[in-house]
Amino acid sequence: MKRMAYIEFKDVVKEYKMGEVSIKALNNTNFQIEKGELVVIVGPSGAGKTTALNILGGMDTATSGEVIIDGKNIAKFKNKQLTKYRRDDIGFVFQFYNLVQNLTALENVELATQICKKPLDPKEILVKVGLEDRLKNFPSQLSGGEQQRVAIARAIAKNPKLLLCDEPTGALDYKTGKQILQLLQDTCRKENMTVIIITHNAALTPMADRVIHFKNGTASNIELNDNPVPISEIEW
Amino acid sequence: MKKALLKDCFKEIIKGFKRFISILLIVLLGVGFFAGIKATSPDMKATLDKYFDDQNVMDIQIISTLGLTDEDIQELKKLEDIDNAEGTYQTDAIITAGDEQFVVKMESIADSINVLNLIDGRLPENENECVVEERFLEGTNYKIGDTIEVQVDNITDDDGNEINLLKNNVLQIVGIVDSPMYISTDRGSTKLGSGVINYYLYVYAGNINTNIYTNIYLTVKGAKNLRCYKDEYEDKVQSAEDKIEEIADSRKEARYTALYDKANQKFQDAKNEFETQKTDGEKELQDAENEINSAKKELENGRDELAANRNSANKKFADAAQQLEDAKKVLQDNEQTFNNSKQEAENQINQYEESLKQLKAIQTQYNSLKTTLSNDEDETKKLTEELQTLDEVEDAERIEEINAQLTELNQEIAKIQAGLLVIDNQLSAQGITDINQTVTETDSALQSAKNKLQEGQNQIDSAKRELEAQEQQLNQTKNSTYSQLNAAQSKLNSSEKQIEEAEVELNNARDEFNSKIADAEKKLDEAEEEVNSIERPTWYILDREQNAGYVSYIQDTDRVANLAQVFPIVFFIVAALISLTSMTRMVEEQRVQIGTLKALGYNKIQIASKYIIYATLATIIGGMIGIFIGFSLLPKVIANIYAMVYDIPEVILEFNMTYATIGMLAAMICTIGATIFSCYKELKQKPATLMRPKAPKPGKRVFLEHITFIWKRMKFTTKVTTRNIFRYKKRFMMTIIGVGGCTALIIAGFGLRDAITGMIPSQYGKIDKYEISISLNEEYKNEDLENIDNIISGYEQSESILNANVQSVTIDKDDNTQSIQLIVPQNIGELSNFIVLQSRTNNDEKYTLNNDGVVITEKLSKLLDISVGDEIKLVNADDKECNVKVTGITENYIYHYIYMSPELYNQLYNTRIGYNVIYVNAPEMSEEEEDNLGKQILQNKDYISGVTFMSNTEGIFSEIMDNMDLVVWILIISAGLLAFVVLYNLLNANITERIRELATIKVLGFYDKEVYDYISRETIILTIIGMLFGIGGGYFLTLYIIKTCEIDMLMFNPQITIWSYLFGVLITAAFAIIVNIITYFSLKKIDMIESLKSVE
Repeated sequence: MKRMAYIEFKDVVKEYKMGEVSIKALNNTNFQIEKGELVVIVGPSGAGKTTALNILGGMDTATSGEVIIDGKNIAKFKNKQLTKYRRDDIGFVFQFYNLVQNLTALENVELATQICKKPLDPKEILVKVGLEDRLKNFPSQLSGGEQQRVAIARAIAKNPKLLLCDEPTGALDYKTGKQILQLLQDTCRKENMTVIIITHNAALTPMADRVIHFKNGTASNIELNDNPVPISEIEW
Repeated sequence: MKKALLKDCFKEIIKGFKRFISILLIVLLGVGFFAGIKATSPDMKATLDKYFDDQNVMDIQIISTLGLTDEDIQELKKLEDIDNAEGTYQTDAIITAGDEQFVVKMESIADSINVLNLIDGRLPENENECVVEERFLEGTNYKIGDTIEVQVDNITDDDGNEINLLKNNVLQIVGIVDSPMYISTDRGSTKLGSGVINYYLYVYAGNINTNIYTNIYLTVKGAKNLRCYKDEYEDKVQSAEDKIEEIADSRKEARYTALYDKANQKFQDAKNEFETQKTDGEKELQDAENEINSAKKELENGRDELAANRNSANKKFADAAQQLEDAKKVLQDNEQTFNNSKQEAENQINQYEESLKQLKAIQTQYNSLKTTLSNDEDETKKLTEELQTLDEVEDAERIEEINAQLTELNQEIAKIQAGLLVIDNQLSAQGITDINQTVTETDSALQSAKNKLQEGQNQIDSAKRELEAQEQQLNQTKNSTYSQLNAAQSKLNSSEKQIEEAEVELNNARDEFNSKIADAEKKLDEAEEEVNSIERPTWYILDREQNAGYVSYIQDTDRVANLAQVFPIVFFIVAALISLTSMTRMVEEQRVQIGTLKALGYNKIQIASKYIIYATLATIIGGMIGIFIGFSLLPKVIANIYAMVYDIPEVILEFNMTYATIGMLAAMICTIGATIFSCYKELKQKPATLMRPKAPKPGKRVFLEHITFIWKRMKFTTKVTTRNIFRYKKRFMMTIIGVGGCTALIIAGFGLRDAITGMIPSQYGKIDKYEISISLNEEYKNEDLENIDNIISGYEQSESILNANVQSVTIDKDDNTQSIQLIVPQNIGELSNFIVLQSRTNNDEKYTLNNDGVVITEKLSKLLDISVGDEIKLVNADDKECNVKVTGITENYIYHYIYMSPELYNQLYNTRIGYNVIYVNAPEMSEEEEDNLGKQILQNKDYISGVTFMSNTEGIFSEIMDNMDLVVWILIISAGLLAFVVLYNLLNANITERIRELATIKVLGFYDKEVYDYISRETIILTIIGMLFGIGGGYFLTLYIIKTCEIDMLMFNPQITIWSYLFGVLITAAFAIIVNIITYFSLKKIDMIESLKSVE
């Protein structure tokens, strides 16, 4: 029997019904990801990247197909199981950070860790992401990069199996974006965490262990990169 | 307005339907409540006005103390203000149903005024028929067609004769009516039965046996066109009343003169008759006396005669007795003499008898000797003869024997002859020749001596017998004479007795006559006094303001109007707040659009108009529906509540333009003002700024974070909650006002109920401890008071009695005059067992009456602003004025009272106070016994004016109070709606405004419950804070409502029970829980992906 990959997308279909019309956001998508990989998903808008990521992150469910994560088919999960899955196994990073405005940097991290089984120390993580001086600042007092760091810290602190990032640099300037990607790469390497990054910027692909190309609602091409390049060496 | 913009506006409404609805709904509530409650009172009043117009209810009523006549009516009709005038006769009567007696107010039916509202059957058409109210049939179990007997007191006609009031007392019930004169359940009080009038009854006017009226009802020209609760009506009626006053005096004088002349004539006749009767009586007495005197004289004569007779008889008998005595003496002497001679004679007789005895012995001896001789001689002869016969041989023996015998015999003969010779000699010596003859002679001599003695004895005896006979005869005569005398005596005695009796009789007759005369004189005096004291009649000119039902109805509607002042305000404030939050959110959400429009060159007004139209539409639609529902629903609901107490037709719903406009305008100001306010902030900004997403509202530290030692100890979730609560200030305010308002309204509802219902147990349990009060009218005398006291003491359950003087007095202070009951207890010390005088705030502080001043009730002190130590001016029932100091202010809830000691009263008014009210403590008395007692006391109706049982009074009040429950329900429902709208709005705001935050924590893996907790912790705390404010607010709201609703006569008990607070909180909590459940499901439905989609 073939060895099962850490993450496996098998014939996943996601169909949205808009009245009479039904739109297939994902159409028979198949890919595999191994544990500890840094994965970049690239493709144009509307190719189904985010839908795939949402299904992977337990925020959405597939219409059909199997989504196997660490041996479990989450496609069959009920709502509550999905919540538990998100809670224990997933860390999310969004384009617009989605920090709770009324909580300080530290508190935003704590918001995530307080519900986890084996969280990392929020302060340590924030120090690691370089925000030791910003612990008690509110999001509105932080720059975009700093906010995204807090968001990453919040995701990492949960000590998840999977770190999912949806256009994490989309709202950031070049330099800050680079720093964030560095942080994500470092996290992957140092913490041996599986990190999946969605981006529309194909220039980023060299940093990944695996690159999944999305087109028209399906993973059109999967490349394995034997020698990923550190982000500092990539220019775009 | 550009077409495109308008289209956008409508699309917005459809898109943000929830928001539109929430504004619409709160406006609906606010305007609906405002308009509805405001319209209720006018609607109810208009209903009453129409009913009164339809039934042609009197505007003015005249009652005269001497009755009213057709002439009065004619004169009144001549007045130009008067439209019509009709008279009726009204009195209290008793109806028996089963074992129960009911007191009814009986009145004759007027032709066209106070038209009865026929419910069933028909109106009376002849003197044998009557109509009754529906409650009458319910209470007595009679039905239409049944016959009842009306017991009613006879009346005195103008000639002073007692006549039946009704031509026919047995009446058939032919119909059920509602009388517009009795719209409330209050039928007034009476001197009959137990003192309460149970029902009313109308009889055919022709059944009244007199042409005198008790009432004249008048309608005023043009009054019908006016609303009877308005000032114009009152002015019109007042001016008509003034006109009536002008002719009143001459009418009263006419009536007085008529009655006076008749009464006086009658008095004069009676006086004349009295005089003749008096003279006749006196003469009769004189005759009787004369007769007695002559009888007395006769008696005297008889007595003298008898005495004379007796004397002569005594003398005669004394003489006779003397004679008899003398005769006896003679007899005794004779007897003595005889006895002496008797002895002699007896001695002689004894001699004779002795000698006779001797002689007889000799004679016997002689005779026996002779016989023996003869026998011997015979023997001898016989023997001799024999001898001769005998042969001497043969009978030798015998001869010898005979010879022997013969010899013997011869010897013997010789001896005898010798003896005889001796005797003869002896006898001869004594001169006796023949013994036998001597014996005979002696014997006869003896016999004769004896006879002689006997004869003497006989003579003596016969003399004695004669004497005895004489004595006996004397005695007989004496007895008969004396018995005759005695008979005469007793005859005299009996006639003396007769005379005595006659004298007693005469005296009695005289006494009787005197007392009769005295009585008659007194009566005559009284009659004269009565004639002289025929008081000039008083006219009571009353209008609808004096109709108990009308007044309490108007007061009740005013109370509703007062309530209407308060509640809608809360709704309007909340409407403003909800509009503010909703519109702010809407404007904020559309800042990009606003920016675009601005960039396109639309001016501020054009852009703002979209939101203003949006808000205006919501307001107008909500307001219209609110006005429609409010006007049609609330007056109906509230009027139906009151319909339980009042007999009036279904409420008339009127469209009240004023309140509709005011309500709508107020709502507009709230919503549109809020909209403009929210637009203004955004519109000020540059288009470029608006195009950028709005910086999220920055997080802020709350002051608690600076108190590190507390903040450090707080749990993470607590910190988050704390910060969030303070973050959204508008929401904070809205929650507090909404939830607080809800709690406050419910507390106020229950508090109002507490305050009103609390009055009754407080007044009739805590303060007035007596169970019965009996009032006497002016006619009573002191012994009547005792009589009643005795009746009451006869009831085992009556524990104690207190006499008091109760009178109506007035107090003047700063131009404010109040009419108050002055209570002067006979016994100051006893008062506390009947009426407790104490401070409301400190029940341990009791007041005792003393001579320094008076104790007044609390509401009175508030109304007139009197405090302890102030002097008040009291005018008593006799219009005497005096100043007195206030020494205490006592707890009291119903009516006003002043308490004074009798000494102080006497001193102040320089009089000796009398007592006209009796309070009785009888806590254990059963209703049945109360009934009996009431009836027994009311039998003395000459001087009893009424008996009041606290149980009745309490009952009447309790019934009214039951209706408060419904008011409370209205408050709870409105409060609930408020809470619901506010909390639901809050929920919506929370979800839409914070949807990203919520989606984020969902993505983070918060379970549904945790997400719910994250939000609900805030709402729960806000709700609790709101409730706390609501508790405080409820307290003040209750006080405010009490102040606005309270009428002068009452003081609500401003104590809100813990239960009211509890209910306020619990009911609010229940609404909050419902909203929280909805929240739970709304949160569950949040779509993470949709919510976290990048902004535009």
